[in-house]
Amino acid sequence: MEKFSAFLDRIERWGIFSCFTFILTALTLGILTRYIFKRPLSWPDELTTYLFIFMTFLGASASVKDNSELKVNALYERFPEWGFGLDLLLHCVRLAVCIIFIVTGWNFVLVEYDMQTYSPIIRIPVYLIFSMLPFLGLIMGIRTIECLMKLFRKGR
Amino acid sequence: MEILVILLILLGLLFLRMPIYISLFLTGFLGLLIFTDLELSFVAQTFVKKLENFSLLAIPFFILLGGIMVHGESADRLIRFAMKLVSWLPGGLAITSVISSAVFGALSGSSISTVVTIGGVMFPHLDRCQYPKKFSIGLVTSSAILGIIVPPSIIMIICALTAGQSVVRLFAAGYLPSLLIVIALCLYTYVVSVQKGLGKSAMERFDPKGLFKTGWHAFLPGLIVVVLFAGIYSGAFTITEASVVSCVMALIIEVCIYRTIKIKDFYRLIVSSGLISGALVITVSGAGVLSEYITIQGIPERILDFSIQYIPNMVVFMIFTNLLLLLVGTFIDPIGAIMILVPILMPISAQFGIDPIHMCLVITVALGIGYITPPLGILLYTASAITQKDFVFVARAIIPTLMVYIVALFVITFIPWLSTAVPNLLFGQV
Amino acid sequence: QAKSVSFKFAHFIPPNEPGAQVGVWIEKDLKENAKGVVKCKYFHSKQMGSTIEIVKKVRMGTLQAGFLTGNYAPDLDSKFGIGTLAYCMNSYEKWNSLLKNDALREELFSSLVPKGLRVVDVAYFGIYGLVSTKPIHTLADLKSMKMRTTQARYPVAFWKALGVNPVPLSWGDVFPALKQGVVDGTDQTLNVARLRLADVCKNFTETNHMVGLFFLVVNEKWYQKLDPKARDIIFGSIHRNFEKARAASMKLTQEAPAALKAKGVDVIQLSPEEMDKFKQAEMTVWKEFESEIGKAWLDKVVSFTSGM
Ligand code: NA
Ligand code: NA
Repeated sequence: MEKFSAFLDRIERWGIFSCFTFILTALTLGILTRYIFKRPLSWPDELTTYLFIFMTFLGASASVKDNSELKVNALYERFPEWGFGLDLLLHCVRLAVCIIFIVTGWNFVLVEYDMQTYSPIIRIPVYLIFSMLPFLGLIMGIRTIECLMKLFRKGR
Repeated sequence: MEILVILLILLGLLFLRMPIYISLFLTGFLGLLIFTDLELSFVAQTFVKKLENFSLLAIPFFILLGGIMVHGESADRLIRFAMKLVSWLPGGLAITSVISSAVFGALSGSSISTVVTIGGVMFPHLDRCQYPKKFSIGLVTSSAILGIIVPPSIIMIICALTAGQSVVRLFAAGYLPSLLIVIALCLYTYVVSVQKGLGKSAMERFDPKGLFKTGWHAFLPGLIVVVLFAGIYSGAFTITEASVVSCVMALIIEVCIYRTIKIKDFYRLIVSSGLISGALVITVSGAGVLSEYITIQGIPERILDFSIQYIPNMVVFMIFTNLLLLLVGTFIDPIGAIMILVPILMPISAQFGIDPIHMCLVITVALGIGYITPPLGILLYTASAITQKDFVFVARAIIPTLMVYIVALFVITFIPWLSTAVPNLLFGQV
Repeated sequence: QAKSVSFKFAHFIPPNEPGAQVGVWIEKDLKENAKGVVKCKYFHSKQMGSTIEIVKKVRMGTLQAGFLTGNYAPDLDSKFGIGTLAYCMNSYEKWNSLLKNDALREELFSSLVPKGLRVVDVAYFGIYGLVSTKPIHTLADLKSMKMRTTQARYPVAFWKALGVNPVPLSWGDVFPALKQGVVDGTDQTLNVARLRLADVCKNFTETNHMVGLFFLVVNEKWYQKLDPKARDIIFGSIHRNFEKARAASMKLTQEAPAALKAKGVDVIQLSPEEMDKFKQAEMTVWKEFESEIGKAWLDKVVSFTSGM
């Protein structure tokens, strides 16, 4: 589990790094070609939008482990003794949401697979784009299970 | 009844410390499940599609820009220039923190990084010049809100996109109101300093040579500001492109000229900006599902029908709205609050004939103030962490400037001209 | 007493054009005349998202019907390319006759059945021309200008064939971009030019290269299982109101030039020679898309509409 978690860490961080640098480069290239060579490229806007979604999902998954999700901490700070219960609830709810992501996401991927449509410019199959959601459900689910295990190991 | 149930679910989830995006998503999902007979797989489409928006890409880049400038020297140089600019005034050093927050806030989309950066530089100076701790903490912390109100701002991007308004217009709308707030804060500082004789030891003569020197040092970071705004308002760049161009400029300046950022730092900066952005932007997805539920069930119309019986006119509506925004902003992050309130407030405000850009601006400012409203303002915690002062002390320290902000908020609310003049001048009336 | 049939359908624009108002008419009609048989609800103005999102919702059964734009339709089935190919089905007359021809209409309308959808009727969005800040009298005038395009294959090909390197912009960005001079113009219908762009664009060139279309698609499974009585009521109302909407669109197009002139917009007609140059230039697009659309289908449509 430890090893697997480290592996996920690497995927998340390197994934974010690669997406972000690629977006930066592609958009810079797009601006340069438009102003210097007077030929606007149409692919950077579209491709970077999809990479941005992927990067956001990776970031969201990483924020589970880093405990950096945006939350309202009022109750937690007021009643520190409820910490275990609140954490347990948080992870269980998140796990349920991950399952919703996987199930609805997968259903939607199947519909898209059936429809066989493509993105307007770079012609990526649309089902590939939407398969990012079940993927998010999966990695975030694993992250959540990891947190649950840690929580129980630490005990009350 | 339906509205009450939904509100309870939403508040319950939020206060049980569910992540904001999960609270929004689940509330929408449960609402659709309980109150409609729709087949629910489409929430997957909504969740992903809401992020398929090129303007949102500006968010990670503005976060990265702030990171680069703080990690490198750009932020420091800008602050030092601001210091020379006003340090000869009574309370000059304190006024510097306001001006620096505005200038730095202009570049950074985030208030937390503003309070950390400006506070990190200013607190030692302010202490040395014997400004009372209470006064300096209150001022620096509250000035950091300018990071949200001075465009470009991530909160504004999200607010405009949620309201279906032009981001560039909302940016333009931010200038006069932020100028008003800056003037109000400076005036407050000046008056208090004169009255209580604060910061006398810091008073120096006006130093044109020093001003020129620090100005020259801040030339390159200043250039980023100029390119950013000229690019956006001339129409040469979209918001996203402008954010990319300023990041590239900042990188070139810090890596090649100041030599403050190395490859290793670059990796860390990119990853940490990506992480912050991810945790923030995912809220847009979650909110998409809730707002889809809200529009499908026609909830804004229902609230409108209900509230119109009790709200006789625009003035009452705006007072009520401001109080609501301040209250919600106290407990919930502005992005979450925007996602919940904008789809409901915008149609109602349209009914009262309020300009949508003006409305968005009022929402941004009011929710920004939520950052410093006790008992939960996030900046209060940040300030208490970096100054090692206890939270209650910080919460008390903030009160005078909080009052300044609230007065400014009501002025901005009831003089729509402040927000509409610049966009109308630049882009014409809609 | 049988349970009433739920009929939820959606458009992505507000009902201020006949092509979207038609939904309001159908909703009103069914609410008044089919009480207890059909439960109808019309969502408009992006309540259900973009045309792409709406179509997917129809496919999933979340909605029973939705409006599909002519621009997105070719992505679902290439036969719809006849609608977006410049100077192919570019007049109301051509579409009106195609709709009256059972064989051609059914071939087009049932082409989405393998994807779980069926087209049941068509509304018009208007006749396309070029709206611009500078006058366009000739093809040469156009070549020096920055024109905006929708991010889709046919429109991009349309501009490239005219020798223009188009700037892709979403519709929401068009007005400020025109104002700031980022682009000099776009292609748009007469009616939208009148409603949305007349303040900034003082020129409209009647290239008449395309008819804007909204196809009403329904979920095929739902359609097949539908109780015959409810089906007659729903589709009777749809066909009646779509007929009325098409007539209203044609009337708007007729009145548009005068309305544009009243707003100070110069409505420019191309000389026959120039019009020919536009048509000739677009032949490269015809070649590019011919095999994709299907030569047999395209030929059938062209020969059917020849002389119109
Ligand atoms: Na800012
Ligand atoms: Na707050």
